[in-house]
Amino acid sequence: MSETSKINLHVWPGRWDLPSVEPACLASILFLELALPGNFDIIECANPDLSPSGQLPFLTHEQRTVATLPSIMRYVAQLKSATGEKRHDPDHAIDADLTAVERARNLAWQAHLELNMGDLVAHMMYSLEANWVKLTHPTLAGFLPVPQKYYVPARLRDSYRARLEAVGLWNLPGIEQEPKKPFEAPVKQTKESDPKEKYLRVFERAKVEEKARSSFDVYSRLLGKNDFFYPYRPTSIDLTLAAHVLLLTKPEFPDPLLQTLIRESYPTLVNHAEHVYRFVFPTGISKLNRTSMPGYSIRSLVPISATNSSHVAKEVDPEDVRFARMRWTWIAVAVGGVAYWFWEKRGLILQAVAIAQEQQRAAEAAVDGEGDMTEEEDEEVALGLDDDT
Amino acid sequence: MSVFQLPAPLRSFFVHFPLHTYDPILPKNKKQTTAPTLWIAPPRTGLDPDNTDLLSSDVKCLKWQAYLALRGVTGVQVRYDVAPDGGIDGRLPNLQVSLEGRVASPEDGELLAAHLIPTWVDGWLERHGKKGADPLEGHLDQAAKDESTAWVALLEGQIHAALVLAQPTSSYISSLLNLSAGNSRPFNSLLNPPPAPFTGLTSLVPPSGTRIAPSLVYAQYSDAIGALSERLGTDKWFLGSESPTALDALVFAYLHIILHSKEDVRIEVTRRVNLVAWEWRVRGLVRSAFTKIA
Repeated sequence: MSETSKINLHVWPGRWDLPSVEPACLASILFLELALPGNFDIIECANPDLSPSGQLPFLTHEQRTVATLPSIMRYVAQLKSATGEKRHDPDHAIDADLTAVERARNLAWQAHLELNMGDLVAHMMYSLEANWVKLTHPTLAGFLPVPQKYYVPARLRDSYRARLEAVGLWNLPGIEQEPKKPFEAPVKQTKESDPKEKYLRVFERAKVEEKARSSFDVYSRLLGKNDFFYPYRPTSIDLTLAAHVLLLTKPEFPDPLLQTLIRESYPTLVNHAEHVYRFVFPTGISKLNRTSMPGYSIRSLVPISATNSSHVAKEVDPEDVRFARMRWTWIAVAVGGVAYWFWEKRGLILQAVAIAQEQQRAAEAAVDGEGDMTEEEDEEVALGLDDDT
Repeated sequence: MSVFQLPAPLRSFFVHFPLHTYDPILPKNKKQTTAPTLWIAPPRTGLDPDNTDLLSSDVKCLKWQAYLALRGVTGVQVRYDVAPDGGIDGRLPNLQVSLEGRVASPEDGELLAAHLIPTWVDGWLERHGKKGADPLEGHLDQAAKDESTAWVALLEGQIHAALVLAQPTSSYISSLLNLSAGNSRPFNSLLNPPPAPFTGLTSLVPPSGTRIAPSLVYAQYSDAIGALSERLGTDKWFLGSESPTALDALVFAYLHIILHSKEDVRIEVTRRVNLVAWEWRVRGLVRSAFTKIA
């Protein structure tokens, strides 16, 4: 691949000896390093609004922008070969050696990993209060400039809330669940010794552990005693599982609920993740081409930048064009309708304006009349005074 | 006699109450439960009393209909005149079953939430001399049972997201008038990572709406349907099982709803012959298992 057609992968920056702090970003780095070693640059970016999907990672290559991990995998697998022919290139598609049924099965496991392991990682990072306050929030805020560092981390956390509530993993007991209002008086914290609170906390934590165990058991059985899910080489599901497990084991979580569980009860998964990581980065991540995205612009503070400010050309999809066209048609019809209404009712409007002006003139005339009366009365008073003298 | 007595004026005032006592309202159609009755969302043809198609238009209700039919439970009636608010936790389906003499007759029976249906089915099968609870739930082995969880994730994640996107959106006024709209699962709870807000994360405007790229959702949906078709191949049941499993019920529910949805999502299934033929065969089994409540 020539230098001019180098791929740029935009991801959340890295911490904890990992190239990114987000599972999909980390999986995409592992994937690209395996599929196109040395032929891509990592752009550390903390502005998801630049992505067509509003999420990181996204990839830019020539005139194309590709967002979400499955799309990136598909795009890289179908990259044009040196001859210009569009085909599956075995060097690029790490699942190319699999049969059609195995690829189908991999797709299902990929969905399972993104949902189940994604929920568990999100629970550790966003749901558990201690981890959020002492680890995730400071980490995310450290990537962001002023003023975004004051509100973007909380918005990211809120975006996960609906998903985690739906799967029963938003389980902060007691008052932590309540939204905080500005200028609200501090609420007295419930004491740890409160038996009800203690019971609730233990019960909720046991529920989370049970849920995590059911997922970890499935992956352990699937992996068995093998190094990878398929012989010899990691495939896409190895990379996705490793990305999630690494983000459960590497950070120093203040509340290590699932970290302890996976380290103590599932060494197979931890070893698998480390094995995959060493396979992809045998000499570490220091040789990765990493650059930071230039700072935020003022335009990022207005929502219109979410769709228009991307400095990279997008691959235009007919479906998106149709949606955008329908949206603008609706806006045009609404504005046109209002304009037409004003035009149709212009007689009434002009009449109303004329009446208002008339009333104003009448009111001014009345005020003037009252002023005149006052002057006459003054004169009368003055004459009366003269008579007296 | 109490030491404290009501003053005479107050007592004479209270004598007038109640002003009128209405007759008790008795249920008009209270009937003894004679057969298990599944409460579902209405079929596609609506609340027409002459309806012959008893397959629900809601994917969750249809899933449980298919589950009952494919597990071999017979004699089940359906009713679709109950709003979701009338179900347990405001959700359908519910299964109304007889208490079998545990209370005096006539009785209304017991209403079960959807998650209790498998336990009831196991008991019903054992009472009727059939194979009840199975640790492998009908799958060939533990690996197939584990794999079924992956397909469930694919169906309830990417395929469900495309189905939600393909549904016609209600107008703002109808969304205000429709009080039950709040029960539907929001789009951003289907996927992980959840979709970004429409107004973006970094702007000063508070987050609002959901930013969805339809092309990305449909691309993933297309891949998922292709994978489903590949995995089924020419097998009789998914994952090579000898008898239908809960996964087959879920796959049927999604395929049936997709085949009656917009062209955008339907075409991905209709171009795969094995999926269409499989759905057609299972539809016959499910349809014949239910009768409408008398």
